[in-house]
Amino acid sequence: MSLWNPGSEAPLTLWRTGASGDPAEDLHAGIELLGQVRSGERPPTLRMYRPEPTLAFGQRDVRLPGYSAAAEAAAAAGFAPVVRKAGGRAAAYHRGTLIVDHVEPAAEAMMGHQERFRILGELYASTLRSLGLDAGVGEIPGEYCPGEYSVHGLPAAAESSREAGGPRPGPRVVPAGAVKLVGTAQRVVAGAWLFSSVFVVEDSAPIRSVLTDVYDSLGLPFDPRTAGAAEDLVPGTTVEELERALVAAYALQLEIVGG
Amino acid sequence: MAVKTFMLPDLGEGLTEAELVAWLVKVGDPVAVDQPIAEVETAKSMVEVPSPYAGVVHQLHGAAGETIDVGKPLISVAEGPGSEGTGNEGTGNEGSGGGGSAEGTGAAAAAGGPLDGSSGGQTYAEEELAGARPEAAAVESEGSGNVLIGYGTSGGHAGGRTRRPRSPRGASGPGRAGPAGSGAASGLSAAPGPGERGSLADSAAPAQGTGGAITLERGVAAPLVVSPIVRKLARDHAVDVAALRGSGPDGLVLRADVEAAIFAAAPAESHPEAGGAAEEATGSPASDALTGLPLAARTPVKGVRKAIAQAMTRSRAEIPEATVWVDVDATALLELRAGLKAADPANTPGLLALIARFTLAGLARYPELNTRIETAADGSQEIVSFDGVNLGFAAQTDRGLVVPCVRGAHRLSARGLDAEIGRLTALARDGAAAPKDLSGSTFTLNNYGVFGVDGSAAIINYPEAAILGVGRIIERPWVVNGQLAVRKVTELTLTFDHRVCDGGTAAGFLRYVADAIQNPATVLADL
Repeated sequence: MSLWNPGSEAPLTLWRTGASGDPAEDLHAGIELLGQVRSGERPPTLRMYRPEPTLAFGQRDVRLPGYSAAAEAAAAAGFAPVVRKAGGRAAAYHRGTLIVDHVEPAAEAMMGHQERFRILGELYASTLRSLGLDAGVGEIPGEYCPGEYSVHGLPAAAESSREAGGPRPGPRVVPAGAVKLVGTAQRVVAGAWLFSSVFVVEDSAPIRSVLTDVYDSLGLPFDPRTAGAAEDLVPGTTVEELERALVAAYALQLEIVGG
Repeated sequence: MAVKTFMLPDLGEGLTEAELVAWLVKVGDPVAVDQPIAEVETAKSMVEVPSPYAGVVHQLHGAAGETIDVGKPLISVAEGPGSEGTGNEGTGNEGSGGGGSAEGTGAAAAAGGPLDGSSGGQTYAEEELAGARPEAAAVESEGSGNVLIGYGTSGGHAGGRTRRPRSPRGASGPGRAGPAGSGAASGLSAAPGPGERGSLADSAAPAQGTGGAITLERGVAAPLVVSPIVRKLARDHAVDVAALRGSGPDGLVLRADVEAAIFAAAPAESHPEAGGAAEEATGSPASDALTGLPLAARTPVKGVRKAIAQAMTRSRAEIPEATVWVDVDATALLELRAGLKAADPANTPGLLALIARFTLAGLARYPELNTRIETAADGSQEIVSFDGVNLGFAAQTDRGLVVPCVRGAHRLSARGLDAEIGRLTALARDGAAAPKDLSGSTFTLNNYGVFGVDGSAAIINYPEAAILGVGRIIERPWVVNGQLAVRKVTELTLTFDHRVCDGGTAAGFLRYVADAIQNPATVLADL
């Protein structure tokens, strides 16, 4: 049984994939997986891959007047503009990030959807902490793709100045200087849910840059200082390292098979 | 022709609205039960909403981009004229998607047909209610029952209702169909006790209707419950919300109403299993709604368990803790102790006492960890530090976890600590410890190694600032002077209140204790 699904004893099947070269296809594969897990064709699955440069817009972004300008800006920066089926606003990722799609069948898939944000957010924060980062859960003022349960990291210098740091379950007051390290979003269908996350580990500069242009075009608020990567805080952190730590963190919660 | 209006269902966890992101159907489209009709987004969850009705889309209540409140109309579906009285004909129509009439028929047949042909003409809404009747549960349990939260499409024989093709499904056998996904979902959706089937209507707020619809031609009052948590609470305790008089606005059933009903029903807590083998796929009030498993027991949290639960909750809720840990080669300490024991077996302190002695020396160096935070009425906080240490140590007893306290531990030698730990442990195990023996500690030592584990991200013994854990001591490969050696290794973990100090202090303390264990000679100067 896992924290986020007390009703399930089923192991989580690890599915590491490479990027196909087609960002839209890679994104769609997550939705396909959701359908397969729902129908029972596939077991509960943890899918991980390092994506090609992609700007994943939320469906709501598409209706904004600045959308086509934003999509052009993304393409000009080498980030393929695609529209994702999970919630949230625009997010950018590339080879220095890890996409994690956690999919499980659920009889009442909406039950606990916010709790999943909290619990999995905390799991991801603890993963980052195991790599030496000072990570926590909470919305960062001015972050891209804002959410109450974003996972952020703090520079070492912020350690002494913050009032209530340390690992805490649930959102905390995010101290100044925090950067977003993991964005989380879900797609919930009758019978299953997809919890999709972007871990930004390496090379945050292009992400910061393209998000600045995109959010500017969309007319949405964004503070570029909040977009970071794990290696900005702990130099030398790699996607491979993060991937290993994440699998280890999951393995503490339930059985992981495959991979 | 009946037009049914489906309200935006409760999205749970206090969310009261959602943005309509996209319609997946348009007016005039035939729609099948379970067919996704819209995508709505709330708090970073994109939700694909399935239709509980079959028929033809009559009206879409809102445009993409609009925000809809929970309980407000989302879509209206017109049942086709052919949908009534043909309960036995709509079978085997898997995946046809062929128009409203067949769809409606299928749905009706699901509940009525197989058991009782005369009810084939029931409306969907009535069928939903029928599902709440225990005698109908066996039939209910076999449907797709895809749900999002507390509502969903009715169950029914797979062959007797129309669904969209999803995966190959066998004919409906008794009980749960197939693997996870739709099959697993059916177990749950079938699980509801009385009242569950009304839950769709619950979200329908002040409107009337049964099974979640406003059935325009009919006007049966439905129980009003908005919160899914309340619905779930009621379901878990087999409370029929329809039978409750809600104390909220417009008769809204509140958590308190359900709790009162649970309390009133408490003496009859163990519900007799209703039905026999046909109940296997749940549907019985004594089965757990979340898992579909029969309930084995409900154990009130009280006594020591309750005290532990409260202390743990308070600690985790108030203390922003962090944990540091390190592996330690304890071979030298074990050898030292073996030497002492050979010389004077009766007076050799136990390992825990020796480690306690090192801990006390470490606290003298890092007094920040021997403090507590006090919050005044105005919210201001102070870090309170002490002259001296009352050392708690976690002890497992038959009655649960207790933390006996060695008062004035800083004045005691390892031998003195050993005697006190032994005395207090015996008292606690016998249940003879006085309150002062089990309270007042300023720092806690946690010897979970006795359970055969290495590490624990322990919960701080509120309101202290830290807890030091000692894992089992086990032989491991260890590098000594560049050579691989087999050493007796343990793991120390320190969980500390990050408000009182930073990682450097915590790590410094932990390193101090670890060094003392690894090389006891180094600590002599501090003892």
